Amino acid sequence: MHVEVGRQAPDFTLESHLEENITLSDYRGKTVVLAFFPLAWTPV
Amino acid sequence: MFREDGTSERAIFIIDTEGVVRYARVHEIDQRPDNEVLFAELENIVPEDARSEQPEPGADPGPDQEGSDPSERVVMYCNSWCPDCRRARVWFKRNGIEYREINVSRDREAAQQVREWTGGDLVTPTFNIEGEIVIDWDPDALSDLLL
Repeated sequence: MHVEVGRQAPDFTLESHLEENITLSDYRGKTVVLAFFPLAWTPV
Repeated sequence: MFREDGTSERAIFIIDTEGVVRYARVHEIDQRPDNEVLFAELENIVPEDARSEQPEPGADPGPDQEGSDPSERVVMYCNSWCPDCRRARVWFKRNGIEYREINVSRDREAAQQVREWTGGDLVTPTFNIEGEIVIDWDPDALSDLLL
C-alpha cells in the first residue's frame, strides 16, 4: 500500500473496537487524522 | 509503517476532505509527538477544522468553552477514548454528581492547564473540584471530596 503526500490516500475497510466496519472513503468531505501507535497504556 | 512482527510504527497521517494525503510522518516509537505539532499542521491544511471546537454529544458544554468558570463545582478534563475517563463518567452518574467535561485534545488552553497541574504530562482524567485538583482516576479522593 503506497502512501505519499499529495496523492490520493488508498481506501481501506477495517473493523473498529465496536465491531463495526469503518471505511476511509465514507469520510470523504471531512478532514481525517489517522494516528497509529503501538501498545497504548504501556511504557512503549 | 508496519514492522516485520506486524506491530505498528508510531505514525500520523492527515487526509483532507478530497481524500488526498497531506501529512505523513513516522515518529520515534517511544515518543508521543506533541499535539501542538498536529494542530499546526491542521491549521496549515484546513484552518477552519483546526479551530472548530464542538462539544461532545451528551456532555454539558457549559456557559462557555473555557475551563475557568468558578461557579462549576466539578470539572473533568478528559478525552473521548480514555478508559479511566469512562469509568469516571459511570462513577459520577451512579453517585448523582453533576460535572462538566472539557476535552483536552480539542481545547489547547485546557491541555496547558492540565500540564501545569501535573508538572508536564497530559493526564486524563484530571479533576478540578472547587479548586482541589485530583490527578488521574482516584475514586477514593473523589469520594472524600464529593460524597
